[in-house]
Amino acid sequence: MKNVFVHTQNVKNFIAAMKESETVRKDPALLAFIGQAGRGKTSAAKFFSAQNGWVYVRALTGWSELWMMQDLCFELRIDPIPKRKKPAFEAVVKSLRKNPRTIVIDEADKMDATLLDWIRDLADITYVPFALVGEKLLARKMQRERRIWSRTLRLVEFDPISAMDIIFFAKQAAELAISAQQAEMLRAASDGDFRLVARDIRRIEDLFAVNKSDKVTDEMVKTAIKMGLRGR
Amino acid sequence: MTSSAIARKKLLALRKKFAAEKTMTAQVRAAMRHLRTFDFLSLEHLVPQHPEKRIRGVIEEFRRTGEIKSIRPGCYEYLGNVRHVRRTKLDVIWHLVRSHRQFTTDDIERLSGAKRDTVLEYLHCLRRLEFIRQVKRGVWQIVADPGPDTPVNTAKCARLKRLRKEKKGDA
Repeated sequence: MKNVFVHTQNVKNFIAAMKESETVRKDPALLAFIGQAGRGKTSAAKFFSAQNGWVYVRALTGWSELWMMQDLCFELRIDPIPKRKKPAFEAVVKSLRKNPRTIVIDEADKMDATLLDWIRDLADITYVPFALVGEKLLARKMQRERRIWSRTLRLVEFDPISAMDIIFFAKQAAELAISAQQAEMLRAASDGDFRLVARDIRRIEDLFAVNKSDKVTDEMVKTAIKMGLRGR
Repeated sequence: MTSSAIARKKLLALRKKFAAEKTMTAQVRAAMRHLRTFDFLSLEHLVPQHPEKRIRGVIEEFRRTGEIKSIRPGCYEYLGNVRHVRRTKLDVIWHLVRSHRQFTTDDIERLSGAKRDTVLEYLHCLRRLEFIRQVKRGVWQIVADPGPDTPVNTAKCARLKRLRKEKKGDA
């Protein structure tokens, strides 16, 4: 199976939201990407941050305002890193005004209301897009504060993987053509978790090679799903 | 302490800070970044351990790539590392390494889009530079994070330099 990053519908929604934020220059832009674990939020955030050179930071439990600012200073190559909140904030603002770059904050559901307010302030002053990635709790925290919610450009929920995504993934990664019905079987068995789908597709690929068949059969799909249930 | 003694102390601290960079180019870059606007003498003052010819070589290279610009004869301004604008596969790999706490070779290959050989070569380079360690086959962990600037594969640069020299010698 090819080791490729497949653009599922969730990833396409992510790209669309980020593209929209880039066109909004004169308004502060906050974006929220939420969803359960295993839906590909972090993978998408890391992939696009790395490819585009965006700043990627991970929120930490117990992150204070100063700690957050210092982590941003480190990522923005601010040297020396200020030891107090005000100079750290000003240094981040100066750096982003001079060299505007999208900031991605992963596990942002760990941030409290104060930290979200600081992010809002940074977005207001610098007009740089801030993409917050986290679980559903993040959306509730942002909605609680009107000032933050009114600046939220897009809220994108990462849905469970769909049958279309599975067909597309099987084609791209394993060069297998599977039917809509077979994709639906895989989707139901994985409960929308992409990692489980990837494992099942790998097993189908092995069975396809062993059987030297010319197409993927329902039997192969059922066997692959059954093999996955072992040890659970 | 007199003002000259304080100035001398600060100068020694700066020299020590720049000398801590891994390569000569990185040391000169750090000095340029500190000075912002400089001439050859002010730069050499901060990195005296390197011969004049090599420092001038770095200045010329940076001027050619646009990392510095000449504001008047003999005087330059540091603009910033142009590698930030032109992202290479190694920039992407390093970004991914830093964004993961622990990762596999497969993760980096998939998310970077780079060839597996490129990924492995660079991961081993980072291991030799002691930024990451190999937990087990195919699994790595970051142990030291020097920041977003992509570490240079110094072993490969030295090897290529040696090969070029040998080629020149043959020709």
